[in-house]
Amino acid sequence: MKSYVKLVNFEFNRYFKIYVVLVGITILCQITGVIFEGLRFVKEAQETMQHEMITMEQYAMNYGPISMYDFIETIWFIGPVAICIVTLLIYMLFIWYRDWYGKHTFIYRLLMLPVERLNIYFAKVTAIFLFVLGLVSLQLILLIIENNILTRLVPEALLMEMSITSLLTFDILIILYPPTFSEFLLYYGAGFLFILVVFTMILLERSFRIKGILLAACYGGVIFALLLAPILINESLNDYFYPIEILAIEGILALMIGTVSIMLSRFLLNKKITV
Amino acid sequence: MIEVKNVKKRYGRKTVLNGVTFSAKKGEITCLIGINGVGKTTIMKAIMALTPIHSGEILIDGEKVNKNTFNKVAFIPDMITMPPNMRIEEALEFMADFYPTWNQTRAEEILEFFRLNRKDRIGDLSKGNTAKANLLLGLALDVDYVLMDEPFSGIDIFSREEIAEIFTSHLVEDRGVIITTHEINDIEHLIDRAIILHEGRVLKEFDTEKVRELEGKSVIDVMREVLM
Amino acid sequence: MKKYLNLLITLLVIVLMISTFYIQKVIANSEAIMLKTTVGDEVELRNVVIDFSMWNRDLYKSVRLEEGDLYVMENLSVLSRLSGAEYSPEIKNLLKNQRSFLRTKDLSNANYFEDERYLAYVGFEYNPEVIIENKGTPNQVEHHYYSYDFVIDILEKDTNKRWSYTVDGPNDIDISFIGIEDVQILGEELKVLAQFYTWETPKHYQWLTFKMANGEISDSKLIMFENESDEGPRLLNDINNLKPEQYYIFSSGPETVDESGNIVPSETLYVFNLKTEQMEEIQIDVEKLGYFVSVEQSNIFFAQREDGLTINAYNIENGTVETMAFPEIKSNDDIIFAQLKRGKLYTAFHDENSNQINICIADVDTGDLIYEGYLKHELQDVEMYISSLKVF
Repeated sequence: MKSYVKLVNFEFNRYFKIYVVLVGITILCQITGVIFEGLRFVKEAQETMQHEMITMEQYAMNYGPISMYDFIETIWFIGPVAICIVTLLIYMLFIWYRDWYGKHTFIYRLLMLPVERLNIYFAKVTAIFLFVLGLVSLQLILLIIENNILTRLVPEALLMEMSITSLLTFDILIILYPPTFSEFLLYYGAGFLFILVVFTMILLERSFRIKGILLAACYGGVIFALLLAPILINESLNDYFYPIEILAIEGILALMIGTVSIMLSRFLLNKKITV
Repeated sequence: MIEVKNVKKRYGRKTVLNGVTFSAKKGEITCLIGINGVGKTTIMKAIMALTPIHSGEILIDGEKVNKNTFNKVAFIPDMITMPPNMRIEEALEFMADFYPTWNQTRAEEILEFFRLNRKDRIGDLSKGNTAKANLLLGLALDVDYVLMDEPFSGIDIFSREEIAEIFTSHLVEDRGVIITTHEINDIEHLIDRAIILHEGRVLKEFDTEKVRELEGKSVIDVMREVLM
Repeated sequence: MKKYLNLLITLLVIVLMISTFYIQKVIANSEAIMLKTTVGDEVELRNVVIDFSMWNRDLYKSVRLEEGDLYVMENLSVLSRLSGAEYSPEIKNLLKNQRSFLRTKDLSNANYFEDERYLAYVGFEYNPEVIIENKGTPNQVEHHYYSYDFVIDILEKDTNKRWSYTVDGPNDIDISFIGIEDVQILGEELKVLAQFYTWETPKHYQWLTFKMANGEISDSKLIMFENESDEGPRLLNDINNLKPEQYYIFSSGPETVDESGNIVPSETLYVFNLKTEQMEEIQIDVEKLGYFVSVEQSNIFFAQREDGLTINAYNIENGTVETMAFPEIKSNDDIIFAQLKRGKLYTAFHDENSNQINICIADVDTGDLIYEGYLKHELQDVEMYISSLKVF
């Protein structure tokens, strides 16, 4: 356990600089964005109001008020979110492969540590997961701040105020912030399983190289088919199973896949890995 | 004692190790000799469970490799095993953090001996200093066995002398050392046992002292004899 | 410890933000809406289910009051949602007691019938059909439509005897859609009231009879056409009721809805007697009876809002009107939801002034209040709307 925590901390700190840059880009881009969009809207509204000789209320009526929803549709908001998602996806591969490549093959050191090698796997899973949750939390803070900024920038009559809770029911935000805690566990549990499986696939490749790519593809394919099977079978059975039963089946499958992935990774790390 | 018993290993269709058997004792320096690509590095990796073997067995003090093996055996590969952006002091801290067998006093001693700057980043080190830092990481561990893969390859003459000096010091004494090289000249006088590998097999295993005394032959003489 | 600073700060931020987010949600939801009892005991609500919604510009919530507890559907956990918490109380009950019978079936009240002896289901299978005109010529036209098969499943509850059939149904290009309005079992026959939506001919209600023994359609009666004014006929019975019915009541326009949404039916009502399968016309005095409330067995209930609430029960069999006065139930100008069960009147209506939903239960014989309470929320600019009141 102690060595696991040490490894998590180590993995975390190794990526921390890039992570801070990501956080910085997100904050900078979104805060600049909300100020820019807010001011632009007010300016355009004023011009139109002058030109058409109408009041703020009439403007809001004719052209619609601005809301946080308008902001979260802009590139200012979506851009950094997309960058973060893509970076983390790439980092899921990079977190393993960078230890193998270059003159400084750190994987030697990692595998020669006097700890259970599975800890390395878990430490990397945990690090990735923490990075994801960290960004999700940051986005939550940012949304509150951005909402605040927009409220200050735009006159009340031109603003459609929105609570954070109702804002979070839109688009991708509802996936990042599921409405109930049980859904949070479900979605992020699925994400966790995804990382476990991808890491196992990477270890398959690292153990058997070219043959490993094939094995990894098969492993991923089988898992995908396995998770899809209950839904397809149920469809062909005219929805014989109730949704809750399908969820239970999927849950058991997910647990099994998680366990198999961990066991397989343990075996690969101990017996099959090649530096 | 490190025992390598009938170890076989293939890379694809190519057989690299074809039933290699030898042992290395504590307090002795055992040298694996052979031309490049003969599988010397693979044997070391196999001992550290860094690459799977297809058959055979490797025992360390009678035990199969497990996580405690790494408290007993240190492997110093021919390249440094720390991320390039790490400073030497951070690398030492990392080692101290994870290895219960890390000996900080000894680390300081070696650091001083090699005149390494603890603030330097590993990626910025010269070839010679990289090799020294690498040795430092391995030798500062209080382990019974040290495996060194080509410690002298590509290193300037002065660094070589310094490194060779280490072998005769208390830093290596009493330990079991397995060393590989394809240039035996530098270390011939240091080694106790020599194992000549060829085409995935052990061609000859002998006590260098005895051969020198009884047959009047150097290691190179023996090599010439068996390989030609 | 300094080494762990980055990790610890990140962890702290994560735990703090995510837990606050969800805890704040729970608190906001629990405080947002509550039930307050002013007369009687909450126990009286144990058979009552009220579905209502709350909304403003940026929120919409469907809420259910069930056994005195409030459930906001949007806040239900995935688990309870997937286990069917959103279904009607009747379906939820069937899911509990007749779980295997309901497998593969549509979970909509109208498709089911239940009495002491039987549980019956009628649904559809849709088969895509195509008619090709002028085949092989350049003017070839394909007409796509669906033909229907009836899926029938009947369970005798005590003996566990099952009758399951798939019966060929209508295959008519003119039919755009068939809606099942009600399912009944009368004697040894299964009866289905279905509404046929059609392209060319007027839409109509069809009364179908299936023999329980072999699933054969033994009779199919057209009982009600839509009139040309497109305002009816409209079935007044509650199609969400699974129980046996005696009469179907159709109002045949022009039926009016007053500004608060209450139905003032047409003077002429059509009464279909399920036993005799005869349609009868009756004339009612709308002025005297008031708003339409509900149909139950042989009674049609109407409501008036003078001196509290007055319920008029029009008896279909003899044309008499029984008047029940509930002076203590004060309703304003909103839709009245009312149900009479076991000698009690259950009402729910939205009070515009206080923006709350008032619930009253009164004794039919004495007119006295047994229970009074209200549902109130503390959200700003939020409208409330009752969608149903059910008493079991």
